[in-house]
Amino acid sequence: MEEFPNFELLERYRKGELSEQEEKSLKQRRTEDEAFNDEVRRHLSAQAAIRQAGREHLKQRFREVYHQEETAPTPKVVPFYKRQQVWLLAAAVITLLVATWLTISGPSTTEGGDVFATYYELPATPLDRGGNDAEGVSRQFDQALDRYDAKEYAEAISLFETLLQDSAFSMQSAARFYQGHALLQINKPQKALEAFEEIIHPLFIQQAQWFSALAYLKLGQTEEAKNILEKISGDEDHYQQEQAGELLEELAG
Amino acid sequence: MSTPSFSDAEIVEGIQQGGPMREQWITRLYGSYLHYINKARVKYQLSDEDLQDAYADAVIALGEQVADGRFREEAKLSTYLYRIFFNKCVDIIRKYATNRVVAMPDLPDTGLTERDSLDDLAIQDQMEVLGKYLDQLGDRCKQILLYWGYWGYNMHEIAEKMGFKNNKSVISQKHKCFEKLKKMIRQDDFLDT
Repeated sequence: MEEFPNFELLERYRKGELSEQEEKSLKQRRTEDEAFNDEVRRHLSAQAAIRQAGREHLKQRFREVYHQEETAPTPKVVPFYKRQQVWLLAAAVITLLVATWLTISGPSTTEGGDVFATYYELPATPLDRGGNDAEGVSRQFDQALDRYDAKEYAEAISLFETLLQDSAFSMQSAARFYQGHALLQINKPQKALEAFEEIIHPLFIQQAQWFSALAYLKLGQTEEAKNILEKISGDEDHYQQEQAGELLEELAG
Repeated sequence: MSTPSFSDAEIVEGIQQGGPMREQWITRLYGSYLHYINKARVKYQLSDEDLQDAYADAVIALGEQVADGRFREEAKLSTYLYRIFFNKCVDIIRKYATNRVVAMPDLPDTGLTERDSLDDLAIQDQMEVLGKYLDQLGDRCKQILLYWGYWGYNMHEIAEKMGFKNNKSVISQKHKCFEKLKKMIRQDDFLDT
């Protein structure tokens, strides 16, 4: 950039990308040219300011995750009146239902699409959809989930999408989770995968991973599904470890 | 808390690709090893606030090392994170110990020297002062500088995210914002470089 002749040079200096000769020359210039030295210090300090602001943003994000995690319930002891916790409870209940259902029914076929149908069960939404968001945003989320419950999936997907663009909306992972399932219902497994991949809340991650494997099966991409299932079956703390192992055996057979 | 469901390679790749995915992968890294806080709580009896801070700083330090390509893949991410985190816990204990006489617990022999720029308290204070300058820039400038300078978005991604007409407009605006930031910083607050 002509307007900022030293910008690229100083960026390379900051990143340690200058050659030995270039660096020597720059250091020499700093000692001889006070204005240049001032510019170097301003440049590096400005970059440090950006880095610090990024760290602060991340720390704030981590605090939110930590407090969500801290309030994550053990299903038997969490009172339903604790609105924020109900979402986390819902995730745990879905996990339990899927695991129980799989234990009872078991797989019956090795064809990708059929296996999907055998293993997949549409998660229900929790009765209490409260959260800590402003009333307007919470109401919109309610509406999206109502459309989902009413099997009006296209509308639900659109409402989830609107919410996900709203910076005031905090329950991104829950929205992505149900949006992904709505997309599976209208036979858009590729889009569902994209929604599951955006999920970052620790409590939803394992479920997103399991349902991603199923979505790959629905797409007929068995190898991708197997890759995920292998990770799950190798993770002794994964709620679907056993089922993933069984499914892998089915797919191999 | 579950153990992570992502391989180190996935996390490293996710962070290094920069842009919209970097924050998500660093947050996944954070969520994957939260149980370290419980371990440290039992071992060192630090406050929750101290432990959360130390853990967050450790994840950020590791995330930045991965992003900058400074992470040596000789050890697993979890091992590396554990060491950084516990070094930070030890730093906190030492900090308290310099203020009053306390019994020092058995400190872990990590056999490591991994330190990062967050470790130096003087620099940390200075960084905090510098970070506040961004708040004075206005939201749009702050955002564009963070996207570019911290999250590693490319110009096209910033244009899409912030509604710029094209990459050229982003480059121009980014330079203006960066120059504005440079001019705002008082000489007293310069990093010692």
